[in-house]
Amino acid sequence: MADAVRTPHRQPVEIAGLSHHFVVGGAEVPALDRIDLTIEPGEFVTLAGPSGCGKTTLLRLLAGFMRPSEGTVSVAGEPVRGPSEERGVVFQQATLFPWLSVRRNVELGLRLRKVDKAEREERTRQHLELVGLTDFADHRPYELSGGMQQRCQIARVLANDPDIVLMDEPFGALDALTRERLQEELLEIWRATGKTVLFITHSVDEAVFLGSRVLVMSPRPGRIVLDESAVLTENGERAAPDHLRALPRFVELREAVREAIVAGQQPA
Amino acid sequence: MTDTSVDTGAGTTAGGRAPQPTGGNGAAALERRAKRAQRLRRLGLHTASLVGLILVWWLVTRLELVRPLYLPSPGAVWDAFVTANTDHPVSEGSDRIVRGEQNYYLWEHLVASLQRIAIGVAAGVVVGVPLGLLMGTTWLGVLLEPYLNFVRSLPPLAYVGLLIAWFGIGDTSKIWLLFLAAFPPIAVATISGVKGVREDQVNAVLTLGASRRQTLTTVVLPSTLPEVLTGLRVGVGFAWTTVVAAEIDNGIPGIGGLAYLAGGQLRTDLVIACIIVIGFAAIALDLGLKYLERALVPWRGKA
Repeated sequence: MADAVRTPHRQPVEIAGLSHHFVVGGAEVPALDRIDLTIEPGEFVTLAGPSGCGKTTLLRLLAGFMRPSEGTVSVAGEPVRGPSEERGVVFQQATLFPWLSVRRNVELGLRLRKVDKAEREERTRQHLELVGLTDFADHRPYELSGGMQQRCQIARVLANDPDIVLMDEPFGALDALTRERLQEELLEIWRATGKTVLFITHSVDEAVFLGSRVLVMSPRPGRIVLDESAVLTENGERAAPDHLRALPRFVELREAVREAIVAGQQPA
Repeated sequence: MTDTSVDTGAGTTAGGRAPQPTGGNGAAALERRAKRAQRLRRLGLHTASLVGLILVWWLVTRLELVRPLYLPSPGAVWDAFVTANTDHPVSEGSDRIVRGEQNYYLWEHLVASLQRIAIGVAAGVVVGVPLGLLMGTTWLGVLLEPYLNFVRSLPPLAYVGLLIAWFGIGDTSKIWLLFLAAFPPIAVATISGVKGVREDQVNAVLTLGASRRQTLTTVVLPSTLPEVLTGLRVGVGFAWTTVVAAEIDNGIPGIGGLAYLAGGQLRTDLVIACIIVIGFAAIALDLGLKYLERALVPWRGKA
């Protein structure tokens, strides 16, 4: 496992003057308000904030599922025009296909892009192993537990090798123990692959634990109210995942994030 | 998806539904045995109720509570059924031997009707599924929906005469009628299937690099399949209820035509024999479709 962040790609994500509103019952409801944000290649950016503050809207705009009301979203200088395989998405609810086995779900992207058989099988095998689903490769997704379904979805996205991974509260519905295990696995995967990650969560602890940079968003309309580097070191080295929570800087940062969220919720 | 158990990554699965890689065979066998016992109980219940029904029927005719013309005895119906499937003298004591009814055995009448239904329903699938896909995804839906509902609400007897005028008295008009009965439910089910495709499943496959055509084949079609199969079952049911109307004129061979003809001749025993045959054939066909459904969409109700 590589120790530092490798950057296999040079694709900064640039968000400029981004505002978005929804029309609900004839009225405009603002969701995002003038957001400027640059995500450097290889960063693990966590975005925390209360439910309904527009985190998911930001992710869906980045994924290309919808167009912003104002402003631009671009990747490597190119404006985002729609979904693309360079931006993989891990959904809050695992969107696995029940008519395909776990293996076929994981290899779906490679199949769609007509990657040759030998490479496809090798990458699929690797990623099933990575998320610990090798023994369940021939099961159907609905035969798996919630945590295993999420792992399968993560394997499906990573096997397709996107430069940017967008994750929308993927561990939100899991029990605490499963969640902690998946967090550690994800952190190790990121350290090994150096992908750019945007990870949305409403858990303060999760945001500080996973992120190399932590953002906090205020609700309605969403604005970025905190932007902190969260690269935690121990004796000059990147701290091991199981040591992170004990570091003083971790506790400090967690408090700062919590305060930013609470402050953001006060009526202006 | 409401798993709250601790995921050890080794063998915990949602609700214990999955086959486990190690152990758990005893539980699986137990479950199988329980299922078999349940099936047997159900079969026993059905048999008992059928025997009871026939017994009541037999008693009513035996005690002559109803004139045999209105309700022939079970024995008389059985005789009509056997006669219709064999060569027999045209009347008692006559030397002239005839084949079944109207020169066809009863099972040949049934096969003739099944063939028409099969062709009509097959045409219904060939037209209904693509039409439903188009209507569910494009502006064609808005344009054509009133017409689809119009055709859907017509009783087949209302337009069978028109079809005969257009397509002649032969098989073509009959198959058209069965097609018109079977295709609307198939199209309607396909439309609702397409509209029910989860948006994020489409988004997911797009972020994996799917083209428009690949999205259709890898997500839209498979997730529409359960609804299409339901539509097929409803369509086949409609075709059965339409088969008498289809075979009302020049419907021999045909089980619906025979039932209609026998009614006209006041041969109520043969009418009832035909009804029972139609009923059983329809149930058997539906069971076959249910089985097909289980084989093709094992995820139904689970995902």
